This record gives sequence, C-alpha cells and structure tokens, in this order.
Amino acid sequence: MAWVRWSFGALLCAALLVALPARSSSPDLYRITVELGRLEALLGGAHFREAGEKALLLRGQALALPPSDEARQLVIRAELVAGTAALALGQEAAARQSFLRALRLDPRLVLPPSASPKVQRSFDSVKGMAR
Amino acid sequence: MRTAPPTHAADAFGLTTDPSSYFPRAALEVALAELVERIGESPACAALIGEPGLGKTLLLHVLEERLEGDVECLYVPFPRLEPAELWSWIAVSIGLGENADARAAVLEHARRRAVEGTSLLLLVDDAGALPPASLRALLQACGAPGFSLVMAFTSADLSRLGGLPRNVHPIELGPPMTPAETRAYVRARLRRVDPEGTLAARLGPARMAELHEASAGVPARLHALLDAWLRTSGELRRDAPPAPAAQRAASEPPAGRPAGRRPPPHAAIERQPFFRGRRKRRVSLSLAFLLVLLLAGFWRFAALRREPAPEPAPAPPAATARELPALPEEQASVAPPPPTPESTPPAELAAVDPPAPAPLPPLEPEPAPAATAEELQAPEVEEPVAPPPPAESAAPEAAPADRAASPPGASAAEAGRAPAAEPAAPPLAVPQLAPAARGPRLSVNAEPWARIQLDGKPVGETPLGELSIAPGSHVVTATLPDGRVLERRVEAKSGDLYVVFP
Repeated sequence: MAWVRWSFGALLCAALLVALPARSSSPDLYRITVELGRLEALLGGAHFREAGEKALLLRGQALALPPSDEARQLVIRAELVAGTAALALGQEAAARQSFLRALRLDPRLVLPPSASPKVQRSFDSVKGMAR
Repeated sequence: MRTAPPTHAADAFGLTTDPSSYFPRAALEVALAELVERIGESPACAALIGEPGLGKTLLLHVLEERLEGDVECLYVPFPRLEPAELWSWIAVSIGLGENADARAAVLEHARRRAVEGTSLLLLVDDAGALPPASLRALLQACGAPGFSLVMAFTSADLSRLGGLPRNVHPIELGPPMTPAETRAYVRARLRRVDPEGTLAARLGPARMAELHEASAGVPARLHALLDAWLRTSGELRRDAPPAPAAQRAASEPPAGRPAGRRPPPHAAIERQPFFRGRRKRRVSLSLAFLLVLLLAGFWRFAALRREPAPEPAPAPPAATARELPALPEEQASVAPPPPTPESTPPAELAAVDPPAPAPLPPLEPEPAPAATAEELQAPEVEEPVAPPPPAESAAPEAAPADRAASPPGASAAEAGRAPAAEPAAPPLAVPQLAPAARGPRLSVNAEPWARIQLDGKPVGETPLGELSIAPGSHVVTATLPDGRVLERRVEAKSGDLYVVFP
C-alpha cells in the first residue's frame, strides 16, 4: 500500500501548490504598495496626469485583492493620489468623488497636516457625506 | 479501518501438496476413485493426466493418504534418474537398503506384499521427466505381482512421449474448476486461516468472477493470484517470499507458449487480468494526480500572468518635459511681508473664507470600517443632487489653461462655488481626465504647499497641473506656508514643464 501513501502525499503537495496561488495576494499587495509609493513620488514631482491615471489603475488592482485591512488601505491611498491629481488638473468633481470613496472606506480618514489647503478644502467638503 | 491481517495468511495459498489442504471437488474425486479401482487390478499401471496446476501432485498425496495401511505407497518426487539409480533409490526408500540388484529386490518386496494381500505402489510425480530407459523399466515392472504404478503426466509430456504404452490406463484429471468450485475453493482456503471471514468478505462475487476468469479455474494459478492479492492488498508483506505454488504457477508458461525468458513471478502475476482493475485504479489515480499538478501549475502561471509587470521607476519626464533646477534668481525671504489684499489672489481669499457651501444631500449611512471586497467593489457613490449651479459653474471642469488665462476675478468666481453646487460627477470608476491641451504646459507642486504666481499673477495653490502658458520665458513664484518666497525662471518651448518647490 506504499503507493497509496505516496499518492496521498503527492495529492497533499498538489493541494499546497494549488493553495499557493491563492496566497498570491501577498506579492500583489507588495507590488501595489511599491507602485503606490512611486505614484506618490510622481505626484510630488508634479506629474499629475500620469499619477492620476496610474492611481486609478492601481485602485482597481487593489480592489481585486482579497479583502483585508491592507488592501483597504491601498485603495484609500490610491483614491487620495487620484483625487489630488484630479484636483491639480482642475477636475474638482472627480477629486471629490475620489476623496468621498476614500472616506467611505475609512470615515476617520484625515489628511496629513502638510496637505495643501486646496486639497484639504476639497476633502473636507465631502467629509460630511461619508458619515 | 482495516482489521489486522491474519497471522497465517501466507499459508492460505501456499504449498498445496499437504493432503490436509485438499479440497474435494468432483473431477478430483472421480479421478481418485478411478485410481483406487485401477490399483486393485493387474497390471496396476495408471497415468494421471492433467494440465499443470490442476492438482496432480496433491492428488497423488491424497491417494497415498487414502491407501495408507492397505497399500505400501512410495512417492517419487524427482524421477529424473537412470534405471539403476531409480531402482536403488526405491530400494533404499522402502527400507531394503543398498542392494546389488535393486530392481530384483524391489520386485521381490512387491511380490511379498502381494502374498500379504497388499501391494507396493509407486507414485511417480512429474513422470514426463523420467528418462526413457527408466520409464521403460517401470512399465516393464508393472506386470510383476504386487507392483503398482501411478504416474502423473501433462498433455505435453504425452505428446513428447508419443502416447502412452498400451498397458497404462489413462485417467484424465478432468476440467478445471467451475466458477462455483472456484468460489467454494477460495472460501474454504481462506476459512482455514481467517475463520472470521474478513478476507473472504473482501472478495465479493465480482472479484470471485474476476479471479475465476483470470485463473481459468486452475488451482495453481488461483493460488498465485490470491497470494499476490494478499500481498498487494497489504495482507501480506510484499517482500515476503511468494508461495512456492505461486512461484511455479507464475513461471509456468501457458499452454501453447514456449518456455523462454520468464518474467519475474510477481510481474507475471500482476499482468493477469485479475489485477487489471487494480492497475487501472492506480493509473487513474496517477493521472488524476498529474492533472491536479497541471491545473495547479496552470493556475499559478495564470496568476503570475495576471500580475502586470512592475512598471519602471517613475518615468523621467517626457522628452519634451524638463525638470527645472533651481535658478539663481531663486530668492528666499525669511520674513515675508504680511499678505495684503493685493498680494493675495481673490481665489485664495475666497478659499480662506469660503462662502458657506450649500448643504449636500445626505447619502445613505455607510459605516464601513471593515470593508469587504464586495463593498470595495461597489463604492459607486450616489452623486448628491445639487441645486442648480450658477451660470459660471456650467463648466466646472474648466481646463487649467482657461484658469491660467482667466483673470483672478474668474478664479474668485470659481472658488466661490460651493462644493455642493457641482453638477453630477462623472462615473466614479474611472474619472475622465481632461484631454491635454497643446502647447507648453506648466505643472507646479510644492512641499508642503505653496501659493503660485506666474509672471507675477496668482494662479492658485499647489498642486497645480497643466497650466497652459505661452512660449517664452516665465517666472514662477512660490510663497511657502513658512513665508519663504521662491522664484524660478522657466523657458517654455513646447511640451510639459514641471516645477517643484522648494
């Protein structure tokens, strides 16, 4: 019956192999985190259009992650980048929508004290709607 | 949970020459009766003919046992002896000792037995191995008083010998076992080593039918199959030596097949149809395992493919864009003058003290500290129904170029718009960014933030993106929150300019 034992062992290995892709969210999480860091650098460098477009893509990828606090934080960061970029490009409605979505995910979200008053105003204007 | 294997499972289908393991069946009993009858006649010379594995050896032993006391039996297991050696071996075996004329001594002994009312019966197994001279010598002795002879032949032996001599009475061992006999035989065998019937319970009618088909009702093949089954099913250790009967049956070529290179006994046995189902299951399991591995690999590959390749580091500005270094003209005033209404654009004034925004209609309460993926996926916000916007806000997404080109008063109007006065926002999933305008464009950002003037005219607070500017030299002035005023001169030709303060 050794072959039965080997078969079970092999099936167990296969199950582990199958389970590994399911855990592939970790590389995604890491990659999106890194990408978001780059986007925030782009935003700081005044490359608003590129940062905004990529933030929307990353937001979608973060939404596809398995539900977790980390994934939610990534979505929020992507929304903030997209909102700030939209605001810089004069698209205040889009910016508010991004901020509102971020606030819906975390109603206690606050911007850093160094945030531009322009951004802060837009953010504050939708803060009440998220509650 | 399987029960512990019987201790003596190995004996169930082991050596079959022990008469106590004899399982009577019709064909054997008929042959036995005929043999007993023939031995009482004169000349008592019979040939037991049967295919290998049908039980000739066992039958000779059973005959010996049944005649015990009436007839002096001598079983000759290995007759490949020349006549002198054979007679000498017989004389010694029946207690006559070494004798110069062993044949005469044996026949004299038989005669004396006849006088006593019994006889001497030689049971020659595997008689096909007898040298012709020895066979002739035995057949000649068959006419002697008190000397009886029973030889076991296979059909192949007879065809090689060219048939039996006239004075030898052929007794066919009969056909192989019927399915019912096979069932009864196997159960009887198993019952001896496994009285509780756990082993027999595992051999249902279907398995019995397979067994019978695989063995063709030949007991030795049946033994080989069952011995292998006991091993492969864990009832016996696989590395235990196979039962001799199993070995022999496995190594015996089927009728009509010349004996050549013989496969190892177990390999030969497990090629039997009886084991095909087991092999099929094993192959199926292996295939299923491979399939699972392939699927896992494919899934993993697909998961890797789904992940887009990491993007390169933040792209250096496009070929047309230039990151402008700090110009020598940059100045920082430690103590900036307090902002005056002249120095503060109306927009900023409006920002500092904005008009009370029209209240936004409340959305559904949505406490979502623990958002799930579904919640994350469906965040589409209901755009608040805004009151009719003022006429100036008909184009709230005015291009930055317009804002840059418009006078400060226009910015004030824009800043004075209440957030709630915005019309319905574009779809939230992918807000459409405004198309880029042609010509030189200036994007400005500052850390932490700054009020920006372009050629002395306030254009707003950072972040400011894609302000359309005229080609030529421009001065960008940033007033930081700590009061520092920084200036940069930029040369606008075409494409995008990015200025970051400080």
